This record gives sequence, structure tokens and C-alpha cells, in this order.
Amino acid sequence: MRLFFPLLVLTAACARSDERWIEALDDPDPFERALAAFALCEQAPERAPLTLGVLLETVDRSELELGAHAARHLELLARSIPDSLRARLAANPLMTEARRRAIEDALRGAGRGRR
Amino acid sequence: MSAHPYPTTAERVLALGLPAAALASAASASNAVLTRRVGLEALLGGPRLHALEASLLLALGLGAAVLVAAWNDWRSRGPARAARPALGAAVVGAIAGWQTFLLAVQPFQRVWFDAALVLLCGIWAGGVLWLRRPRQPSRLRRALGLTAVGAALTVAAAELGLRAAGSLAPSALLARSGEAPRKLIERFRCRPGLGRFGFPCNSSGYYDEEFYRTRPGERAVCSIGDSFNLGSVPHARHFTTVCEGELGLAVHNLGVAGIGPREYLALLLDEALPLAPDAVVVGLFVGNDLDVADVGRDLPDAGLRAWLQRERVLTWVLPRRLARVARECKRLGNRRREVAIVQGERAVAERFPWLDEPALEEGTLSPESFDCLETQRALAVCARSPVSLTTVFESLAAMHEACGEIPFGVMLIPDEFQVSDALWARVVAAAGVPLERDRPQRLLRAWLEEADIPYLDLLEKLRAVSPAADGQRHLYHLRDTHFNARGNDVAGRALARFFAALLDA
Repeated sequence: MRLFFPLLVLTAACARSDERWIEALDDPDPFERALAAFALCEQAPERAPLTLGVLLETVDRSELELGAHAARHLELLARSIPDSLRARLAANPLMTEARRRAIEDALRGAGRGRR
Repeated sequence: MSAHPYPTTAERVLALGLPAAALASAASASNAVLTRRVGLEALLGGPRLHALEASLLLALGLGAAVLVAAWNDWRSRGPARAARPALGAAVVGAIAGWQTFLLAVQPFQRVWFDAALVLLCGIWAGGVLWLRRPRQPSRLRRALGLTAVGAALTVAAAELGLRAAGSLAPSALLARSGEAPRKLIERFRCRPGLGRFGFPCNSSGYYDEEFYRTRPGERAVCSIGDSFNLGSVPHARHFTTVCEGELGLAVHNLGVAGIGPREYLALLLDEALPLAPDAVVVGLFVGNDLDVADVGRDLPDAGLRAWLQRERVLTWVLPRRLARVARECKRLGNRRREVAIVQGERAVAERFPWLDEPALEEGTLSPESFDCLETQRALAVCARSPVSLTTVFESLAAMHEACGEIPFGVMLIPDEFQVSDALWARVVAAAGVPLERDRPQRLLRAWLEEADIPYLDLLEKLRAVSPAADGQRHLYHLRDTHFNARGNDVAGRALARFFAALLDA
């Protein structure tokens, strides 16, 4: 048990900085990108707009309810950057139905949505 | 047992080294998990994350306890207790953990692997502590231990053996997702000389006459694709042969069943361009080329994924494949489609009367399997972003660039549910979510136009065909997903016009 507490302290002290999470937004693994986006939204809400692209791509994913979590964070994001969301909605003809619906729901949820 | 009063040096090193290695791995893996805790908390919620953290710390504690006990043994130069059983438990634990991961933790994600590794080390450490209890040797315990180790090694040997067999003897049954393009091509390419509808495949294994490099003054074009290019009609009725007749030029047909965009690029570079063609057209089947083409491309931890992603482990996929084949055989009864080699077009027409009379055709798949397959394909490309769209775009861009001055175009082949209204109605009913029927073509057309790559969209051509008296267009084989002779005829004529436009441009 002598090693237990040093290990506890060691592992607890390993939280990632905002910069590490921002770097992880470009990870080749979409799951890691999604995790980074969720973490950044929680840990540094002022930098959450950086996660918009990743949240939108994650909306399409179904495992572990990733899509639902992404939609929830998108709704929080819509309160601060509704115009960016509207611009995405208008500009991207390749958007999936799930993404389009998530953005519309987010905008509605933020109280500024337009159908 | 290992409670030998005079342990060998190897046993002493093993007794200390195993716990040290396990604890180091567990500490590193738990660190990797805990650095992601903010993201995991958002995903799992607080209580579940705290339970995971407590489990990890308990596992680390057990690992540390084993290491301390082993260190005390080492210092006191006492017996290396439970060294061999610990090694056996490590082997059994690793294989059992591997199989459990394949069963319960899919798809592979590094963070779950790290968490599983820590928990496995903890379970192993708990087992070793239990094995260290002073007790009388038992034959039964020893026999059980040996049986468990033997079973674990058998599972590992089976996987290694199947992989070796798959490498030595190419077989579609032993294909693994994520294989290199050349390997996949060799696995699915026809055997040279193989007779299909009375026509022998050429020396390169393609359903066409012998290829030749175009000489100065000669003109020839290449068509690259998957099972649509391989075809399931007599050679004279295949769309590349129809195109050849319309165009008045040789059309080299490079078709291999079961391949996708990355393999098309490999075929272009290795086999089509050396023929010095005047134009190249690649056929893109929207039903599966956008969805199954190496979804794991560029993902990290390729080595781990090769063993921990279920679709890549042959001991998991082979039984399912065999079961599917057996189930389909049962559904279809003993009926088999005629594949006998016959010579001459008249003999072919006599043997396969359904070529010209679709009403006589018997379905390739059972109705249940066919509707299920078509619904899965529609969900993959009409409801969400196809997972391999980036791979498709990158492969097409690379092909376009590789062709240089040689005209390059893409032929978009629709899935049957996009052409048959009756099938579409069944697919929509089964899908249960909103589907956009022409979505794959919309995505591809937008990208192709932006990339300035000419394309031929067969969807419009096939929909323009007037339905027969029964209201169906009959352009695909019955419950098969591939073009029949009528579908090949429409595609061949359209392809000839497309090639002509490419050559004129």
C-alpha cells in the first residue's frame, strides 16, 4: 500500500490543459475529437466556439450517445454564437438531416432560432 | 507448484518482473484515462466516471500490493512464490481479456482499451495474491490451470493460423477489413481462365479479352470498378462490351468484386495506366463504395485495432460468415443458380433464359436478406454522412491527378432502391428514420463539379427507362443488387456517349 497514495496523487495531477484539448480537436480519431470538444466546452466555455466543427460532425455518431451529447453542447453553444450556426445552416448543402435538425433545435433552444 | 524452496534465477526474475511490468502498464494506462476525465465526465456522467476511477485505483492498489510482496520475496531471497502460476494467469488473463474486449467493448477506442488494461492488471494482481496463499498442492488445481492455459493458447493459435491461411491462400472468407489495397485486389481477383457464362477470364484475371498496351495510332480506354465491372451477365451483354460496340474502340474492363475507391486507385496506377489508355472511367457504386472503404484509415493505434476491432479478428468474423452462408442456403433450399460453362451465345441464351425474360429469373438472395441489405445500405448513405466520403474524395482526386493529360471521368452507379419505387417503399418502411433517396449522388456531384471531374450519373438514365407491363423497370437481377442484361445495356450506351465526350474534350 506504500505505492498507492503516490500513484493516486500522480494520476490525479494529470488533468489536461485547454491547449492540449484544443490540439486534440485535430486528432485523427473522431472519438478523441468528440471527447476533446466535450471537455473544452466544460472546462473552458469561453473557448467552446472552437469546437463547433467537431460537434457538428459528432452529431451523426450513434455510439455511446455521442450524437445526443454533441447536440446538447451545440445548444449551449447556440446561445453565444447563433450567427455562426445560422451561417453553417445556410452555407452547407452537404449537411445531413441529423446535423440540420441539431442546429435548428439548438437555435430554437437558445431562444433565437428561425425556422 | 512454484513454491520451490530453491527457485531458479529465471523464476526470481519472473516473480518480480511480471508485477513490475503489470504495474507500470497499469499506471501508464490509468494516467491516459485520467487525463481525459473532463471529457469522459461529459460523456459518462459523474457517478459512472467515479466508479471507473475507483476501479482503476483499486486495480493499481492491487498491482502495487503484488509488487511489494514480490519485492519482499526478492530481498529476503526466499521462495519465488506463485511465479509460474502468475505467468499462466497472465497468459489466460490476456487472452480472456482480449476476447471479452471483442465481445463487450466495440468499436475499439483507445481510452476503453487503457481502462480495460488497468482493470485486467488489477484482476490479475488479485488472482496472484490469492495464489500466494500457503496451501497444499492439488492435482485438480494444476490440471485446471493447465487446461485454462491450453485453451487460451489454442484461441491465439487459431487466430494466427487463420491469418496465415488467409495470407497464403486468398479467400473472400478470410478477408479482413483494413487490408492493404493490393492484398484485397489479389484476394478477390478472378482466377485467369475462369469461365463465366462461357467466357474465360483473361490472363490478368479480368472478365474481358486479353489486354494490350496501346501502340501509336491505336486508341483504347479503360473502365475500372467493382462487381458491376466484373458483371453477372454473359460477356457480350456486359456494359463495357456494349460500350465497345457503340464506341468502336477497345474498352479494357478492369473489374474486381468486393473492392472500393482505394483499390480503384491501385488498379489505375498498377494496371490501367501501363496500358496507355486514351481515357479512364471509374465506376462508383453508391450502395457500398461510400460506406465500407477502409473506415479505419489513418486512425492511430493501427496495431491494436488489428487485434481489438471485431471486424478484423478472423476467429470472430469467420463463424458469422459461415453462418450467414449456411442460413442463406437454407432459405433458398437446394436451388442453385446455374454456373455451368457453356459455349456460344445461343447456348448461353438457352441455359439462362432469364437474361431476356426477367420474369423467369429466380432471386439470388432470399427476400428477407435482400430487403435487409438494401435497408442497411440506404441507412448508410441516405440518412447520415457516409463514413468513407473523405476516402472516396481523396482517392478520386489522386486518380484525377495520376491521369494527368489522360481524360478521367467517374460513372455514378445507383443502388437499386434508388431506381425501383417498390423497393424504395419497402426500404423507407423498414428504415424507421427519414431518408433522402438521392443524397449520395447530391454529395458526389457537388464535389465532382468543384473538383472539375466529369461524371456520368446513371441514376437519371435508369429512371428514364419505361417500366414493363408489371410496372417494374427490371434493370437489376432479381434480389441480387447488380445490373441484369437490360441494366447493362442502358449503362453501356450511356458510357459510350460519356467516353466519346471525354475523348472529344
